[in-house]
Amino acid sequence: MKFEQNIGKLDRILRIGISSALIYISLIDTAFIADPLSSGILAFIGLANLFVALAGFCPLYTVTNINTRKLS
Amino acid sequence: MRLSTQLLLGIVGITIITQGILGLIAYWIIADVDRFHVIQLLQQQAEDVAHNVAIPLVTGDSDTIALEQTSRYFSPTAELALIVDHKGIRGIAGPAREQIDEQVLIQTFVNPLAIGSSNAGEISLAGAEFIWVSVPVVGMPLQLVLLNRAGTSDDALIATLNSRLLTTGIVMLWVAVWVALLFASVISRKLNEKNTALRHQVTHDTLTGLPNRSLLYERLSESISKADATVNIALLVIDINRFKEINDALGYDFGDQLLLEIGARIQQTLPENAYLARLGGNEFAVFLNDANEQQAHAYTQHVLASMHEPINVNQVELEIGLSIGLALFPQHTDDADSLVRYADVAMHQARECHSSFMFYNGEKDSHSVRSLLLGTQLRPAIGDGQFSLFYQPKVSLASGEVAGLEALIRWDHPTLGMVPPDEFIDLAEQTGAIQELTDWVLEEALYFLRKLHRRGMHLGVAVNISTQSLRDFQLKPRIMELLKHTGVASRDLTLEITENVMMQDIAFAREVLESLHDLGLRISIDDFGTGFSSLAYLNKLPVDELKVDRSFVLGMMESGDDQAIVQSVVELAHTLGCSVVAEGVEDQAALSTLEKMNCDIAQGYYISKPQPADIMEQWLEDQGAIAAPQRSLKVN
Repeated sequence: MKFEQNIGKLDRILRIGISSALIYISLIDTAFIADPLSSGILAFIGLANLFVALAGFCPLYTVTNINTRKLS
Repeated sequence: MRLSTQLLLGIVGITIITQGILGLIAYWIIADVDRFHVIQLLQQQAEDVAHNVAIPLVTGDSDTIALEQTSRYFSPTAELALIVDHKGIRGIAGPAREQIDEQVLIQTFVNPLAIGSSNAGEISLAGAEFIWVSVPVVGMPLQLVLLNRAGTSDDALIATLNSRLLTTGIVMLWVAVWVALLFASVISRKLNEKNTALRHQVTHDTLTGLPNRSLLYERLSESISKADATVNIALLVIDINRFKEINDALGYDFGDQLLLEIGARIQQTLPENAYLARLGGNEFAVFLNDANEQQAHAYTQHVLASMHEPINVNQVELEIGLSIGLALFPQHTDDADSLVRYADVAMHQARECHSSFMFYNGEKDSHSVRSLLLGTQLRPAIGDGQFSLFYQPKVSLASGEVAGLEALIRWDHPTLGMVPPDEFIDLAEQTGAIQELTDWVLEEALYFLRKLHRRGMHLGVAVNISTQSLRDFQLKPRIMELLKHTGVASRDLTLEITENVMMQDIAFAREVLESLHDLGLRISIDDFGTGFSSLAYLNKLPVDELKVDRSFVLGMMESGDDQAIVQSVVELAHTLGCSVVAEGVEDQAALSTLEKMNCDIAQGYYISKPQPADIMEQWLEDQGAIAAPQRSLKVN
């Protein structure tokens, strides 16, 4: 499989925004999420999403044949 | 909105709503269970305290100290513990005792006191919610009340629940988005595949898998719309000769195999930028993008050459001939529809001329707008009196007398002017109007003849009969009826049939002509010499007259060959016992030569051109129409 970037600019901004919010509420300001299990899960989703956004390549996009990079 | 977007929004929306409903239900259930559980626990503690506080009270301890000690031991979480009787509060303990006014407690618990009964409930004191239970102290007229803060455990529960709900919500949303995307992608891929398959089915031929007529139109239109002034497009319509016979003789399966084989051979000849399509039946079409007349011609030769090798289908070897029609853009037309039609017309022209290919020729296009117009107006024109009969006299060379007339039809079209018979007779045959036209000609000619007879001019008239009329079984009875009505003798009517028509089916011609001849009608073979008459059959046919084709008579004075042919025909006719008519006599020299050849009758412009009935009547009158000597003929 070729790791060709498939995440567009708007998509990347949205992903970074959402990921940052998730990381903030799960790792930085823990007052919002009291439960450690919940914050762990949210932190995982946030970090994974942030990594994908920074790499510009989403593996699920290749499966579903989506390319937001081409759209933008 | 695209289907995938709709699916995505649908799944995400359903997820959020489901999540909200589930969250609310979970909260209600858990909160209710928690309250019930707290009351039960407090009740149990209260009973333990009430049971154990009795002894220190009896032994004389201060009520408050006894209560404090017992409740700390048996109910450490209680916010407030009271021992009351009818008069008031006997003892009070617990961390909340400083915050709550004693009077309020007396009003709440002492005044409505029911000693000896258990009770429980919720109460708001000093701005806080409390759960309380009251139980009787064993063996004494006292009541123990325990209060616990309500909601303390609920807050923690809600906080945990909130976190989990939020996390579950985000995870579910995340999963839902991906599930929706996956669904949308799978569904749209399946739909696309189905659409592609359907489109292929609609635009391709099921047998050969080649593009069909509609796709050809589409591609042609596309190419034509993109074409600039320098681009040429050629379209070939290819027809397989004798395909029907092959199908009839060897079966449809064989025909299908043959079509596949021919399709494959043509495919191999395709240059770049060319498309092959099957138009249906045994017709293929090749569309050459950017090919001028020379290139189209060269490619046509290539296609024809590809069929030189016999085709082997199911161990049967067949030599296949093609008829190819070509139409060019922009020379012939600038729209796709006409290009296909013109190529088709050219193909039919090629087939009729037994030529392997032919470029479109508008003048020969029997399907042109003019032909269509004439074809539809032909039948009404008969009733509207647009047709008229012209007559051309035939003169006996021996006596100089007018020997008869030939009736020639003319169509004076209101907008197109005079339409030549060659053009409309074919159309009349194609549209079936020939029967009405023949009837009209026979009727007109015979009534004119009757008029002449009544005026004392005893002449005969010749009428041209087409192939189709000859095959019309009603022809004979109609002629009989007309002869009866007009009173014209059958010997005065000559039916002229062209040589080619007669030779197409000699046995049939013989049968029909004999039947007509039996009526007493004279039979004349027109344009004699241009066809391929079999002399063996000629003497078996009931022929009374041979008409030498005008081309021989016209060329007779310059060409010795033509003269020899005319001479031979005259001799042949006399041998067979027929009279001979020479058409196309245009000068005195021809007339004299024919006389020397012993030809019987002459017809041509030198004697008279075809004239309308009234003028011909006058002409006949001027001639005396009777026994005028040859040299005194007044020629036009």
